[in-house]
Amino acid sequence: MSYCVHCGVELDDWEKKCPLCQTPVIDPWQDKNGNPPPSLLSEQPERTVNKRLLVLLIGLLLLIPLITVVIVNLATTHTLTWALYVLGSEICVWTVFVLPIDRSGKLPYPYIAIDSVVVALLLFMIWLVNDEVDWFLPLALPIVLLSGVVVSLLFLIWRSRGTLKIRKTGWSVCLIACFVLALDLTITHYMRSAFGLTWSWYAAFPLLVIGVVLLAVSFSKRACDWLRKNLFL
Amino acid sequence: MRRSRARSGNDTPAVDWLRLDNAAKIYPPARSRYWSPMFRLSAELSEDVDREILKTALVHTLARLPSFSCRLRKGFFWYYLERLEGAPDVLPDVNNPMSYFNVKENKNFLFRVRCSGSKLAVEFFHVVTDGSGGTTFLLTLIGEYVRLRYGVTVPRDKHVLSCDDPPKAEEYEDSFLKYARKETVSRGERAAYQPHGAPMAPFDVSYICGAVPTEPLHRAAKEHDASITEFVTALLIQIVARQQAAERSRAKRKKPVKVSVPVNLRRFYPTKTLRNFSSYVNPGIETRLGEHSFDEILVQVKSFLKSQITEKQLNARFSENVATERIHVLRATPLFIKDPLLKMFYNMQGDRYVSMTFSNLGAVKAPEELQRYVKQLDFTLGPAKKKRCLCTCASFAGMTRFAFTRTFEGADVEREFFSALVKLGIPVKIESNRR
Repeated sequence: MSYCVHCGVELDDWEKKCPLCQTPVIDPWQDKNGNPPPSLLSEQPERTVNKRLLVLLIGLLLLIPLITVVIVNLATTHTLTWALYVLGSEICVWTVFVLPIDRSGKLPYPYIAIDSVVVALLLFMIWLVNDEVDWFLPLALPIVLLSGVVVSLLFLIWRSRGTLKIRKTGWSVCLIACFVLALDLTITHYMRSAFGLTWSWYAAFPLLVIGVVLLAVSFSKRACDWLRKNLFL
Repeated sequence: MRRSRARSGNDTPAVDWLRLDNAAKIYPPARSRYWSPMFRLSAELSEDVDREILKTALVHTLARLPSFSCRLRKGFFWYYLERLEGAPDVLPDVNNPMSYFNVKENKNFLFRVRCSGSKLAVEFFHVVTDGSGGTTFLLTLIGEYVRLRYGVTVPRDKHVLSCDDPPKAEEYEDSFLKYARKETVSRGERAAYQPHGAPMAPFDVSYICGAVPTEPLHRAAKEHDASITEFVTALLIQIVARQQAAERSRAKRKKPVKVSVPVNLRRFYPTKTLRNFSSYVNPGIETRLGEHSFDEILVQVKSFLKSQITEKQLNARFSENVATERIHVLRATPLFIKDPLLKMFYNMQGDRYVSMTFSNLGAVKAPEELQRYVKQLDFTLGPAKKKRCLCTCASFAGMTRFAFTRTFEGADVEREFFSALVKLGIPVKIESNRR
């Protein structure tokens, strides 16, 4: 039985100092072998970021420059002109980069579809405001849709389970090669009103070769082992 | 209140959902992701707790007390409690209980059962019940545990209910609404001085418990012609006033020192509710008027408590809260608007009026058959939202245990309090979670 010489309170036998005043317990007759009860763990909650709130907050922050440019634009030209670019760009930035923060395990494909639509709408707005030559329908829209499809396919490849990484890489490289070819076709058709391939060969051919080699290797266990042995980091 | 037939098929209603009682309405908006207003009742049994038997006892207890078996849900206008099936897990005890509470954990139950060695504890989110209802839950749980473990039938008591009986509707009524009258008194008060210090690390909390024999404590209070509550409240006010006098800030020195004393309203009304039914009064002193001796403080505390703890005063006090709840505009305001407004109101006003809280559960009496298996009983408040010092006390089997909860560094209040008891010739045994 120990007492604090400062407070006068009785303490547990194993206490080395008084919990009230931190005075050390000096008791020559103290039972040094007395076992204190097992220490209990302190619990800590898993602290997580409130993603929905974060998305909302970033959205509110983006509103500040938007409102500023709208007021300035209206004050100077009495109509909305260049502020529309800021409006469209901010919606694009929020949709493409901020909205997926609150994805929390959901599938990415609806987000890719929304992103494609928003980017297409931004380009449509720019085309409407400028009232220039017809570039939206034959050029911008196909490229945006093509990009959306390719990104979706890349996600599909990399989310598939049980497939070797080398095979996923092979399919991805082949897909990028096809994208480059399709891009060239679209641009050439817009520029010359005829289908044909020009610059894309230089990029697509090596990519296709690399992709096919990776796919071939991925189907051979021996080749895979050889690569693993010789190229590990 | 919607009711359905109990599963047993008898005529006793079991709740499907419940409106929050008047006192509980502020707690869901006030809580944050990691903090909720909580209190803990724990008992040390004569032998190590058998977890499997405890789980069975818990299932039986929840069938008897269905108002505890619920989750918190959001309606369009108010929060409500929805009936839950099953029972929560029995969790291991921790060193910093009640430092956080997330209503979505623990199978959505609004209380946690913990056990470690021979210690059994229940931590309640204040939405479900108050100290008196919590005591009934704990003692009923222990009574059922003792029956299953030792085959001893504990006789029915005010706090020990028989799990063989069906639930009773009067046990989950909102007594605030039932007994509120039209006459009210204002809650307006001056902001009080609050002891403070460097904040502890997040989720760290200091619990210091002092066990004193009830008899000499009672005698010391009687020498001053006071009850234990009056005596201890006056002592706490004196200690906080001494700390305030050492403050450099003139503004802080001018604030009153007040201690919040919860009052069990069941003393005044013939209610059997196990939900919240308590109010509070805030006795204190105006330290700007000069230094107060202990006797002067005690006279003020006694006269204040005597004048305020009357049925009429307390009724007018909680009727004010009920009247607020009944304002049509407030009722018709959607919860998504009301929720942040109530949170803001609580953050600005909730803790400002008192320096600390002293909650006296009183003498807990249990049948002798049960007392044989229960060595001690503790009552502890969870940390307050604002960094504040809280004190509780409960008497059981001839011992009174004071528990201090604090989330800032420096045990000055506890040290001075227990030293004062020692100087009065009352032996104090200290236990703490600080090692």
